Amino acid sequence: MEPHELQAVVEALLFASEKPLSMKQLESFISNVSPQELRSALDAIGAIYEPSHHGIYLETVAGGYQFRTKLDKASWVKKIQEEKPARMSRAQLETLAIIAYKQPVTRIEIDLIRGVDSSHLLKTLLEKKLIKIEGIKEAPGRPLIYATTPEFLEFFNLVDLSSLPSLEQLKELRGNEKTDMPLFAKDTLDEAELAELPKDQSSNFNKSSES
Amino acid sequence: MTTSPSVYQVKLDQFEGPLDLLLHLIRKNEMDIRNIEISKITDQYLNFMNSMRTLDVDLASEFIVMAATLIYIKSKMLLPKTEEEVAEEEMDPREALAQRLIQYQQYKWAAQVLEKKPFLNEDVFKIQLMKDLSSPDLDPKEALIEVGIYELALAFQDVLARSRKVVGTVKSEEYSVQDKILEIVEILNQNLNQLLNFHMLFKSDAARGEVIVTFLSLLELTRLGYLKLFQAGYTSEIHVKAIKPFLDFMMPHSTTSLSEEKKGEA
Repeated sequence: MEPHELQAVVEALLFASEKPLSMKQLESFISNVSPQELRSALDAIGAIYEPSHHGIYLETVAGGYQFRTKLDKASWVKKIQEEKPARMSRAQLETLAIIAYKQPVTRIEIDLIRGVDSSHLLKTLLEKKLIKIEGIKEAPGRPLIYATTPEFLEFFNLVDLSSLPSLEQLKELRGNEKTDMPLFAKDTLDEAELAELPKDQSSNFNKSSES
Repeated sequence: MTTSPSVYQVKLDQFEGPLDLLLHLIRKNEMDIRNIEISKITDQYLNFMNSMRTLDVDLASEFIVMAATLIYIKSKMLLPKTEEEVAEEEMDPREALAQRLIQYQQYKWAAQVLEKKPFLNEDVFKIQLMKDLSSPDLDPKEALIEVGIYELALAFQDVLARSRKVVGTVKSEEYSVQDKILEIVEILNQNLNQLLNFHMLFKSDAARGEVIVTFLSLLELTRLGYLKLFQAGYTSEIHVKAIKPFLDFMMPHSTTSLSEEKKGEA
């Protein structure tokens, strides 16, 4: 296939897909294409949408590629949203973080870390499809074990789980602040610290402190 | 608590639990997490609990357990060490608590990292199609999603709740999955490739035993590839669709028993 034609086909597929498309999926849709050809097509598409006169960009997320609206256009896109999504609470974020880092994990293990009961939070997160029941642990009581879903990666703009900083890295970056341990949402990582965090290959920018 | 003004509730909402409150107190007092001034922290913790009580706010039992833990640690530190304990170089009584706090703190940081990410459908948006043609789990005709185990469990609870029959005369009833499967096959054979309401397959006056057997039969038929279960949204009704004709339908049990008979003859 002509490089130009290939680029157009890939763009069309990405535009029309609700789920991120992986290299593998794209390869299976387009026959006789080498990974190198695909790569350069994807790079070319990514470059087209990067300039600020485009409202969308190509994101690497959940192991694939997806067109998304740019972060600074959120207030505009919200106008066409029919339903406002419920904001994620601090407790939900905490529970999600524990599951993301410790999975597969049981409710008891989550409760132990948080020091409070998490069952209602787990139910909400299951409903949001951010976590799933992965199975049953062969232990007394046969507890359910929880894990994050591909939707979790999509929701938080993550390529994969390894793109989160490790707990050790977090400890190193934040652990020495013994006298002023940030605990609340208003305490944010400052720019220097953010620069030290592992960057995804994608344009995985972080939100400004407006949240 | 239900009627108390939101001001106090907001204040309480600041703390996700006793560990959260402790971390706040440690920070406020500029203490080292590994070297907590236990007497000071315990006093402040108990003060917080008392003020909550004055405000008539129910505190979760976890807060009380933590209070007990703090008092225990405090007393342990006040008591002179026994000779045995000195010899064993017993662990600092605060150590276990410090470990829990440090662990919790790490996950709080991790939660903050997540919070900084652009949320899908809040900060960034993707295309939203009415139907997801790329997903193999979807029945394109009805735009339903294949159900998972958690949805099934919910549906089962629901059916069980509906079956709570008024107690009357007790007669023992027995149901077998085999008989039930044949019964369901009968219904489904007349409705091949149509969507049937999941609840329709359960008799409204069915007793618990029958409900369970019906549910097992549906699971078995799904496993054998005769059925697919669909659902439009997370909490909506589950639908059943027969996807394979039952003409060649054979109970797995009956096939084994047949082959056994043959063996016997030979």
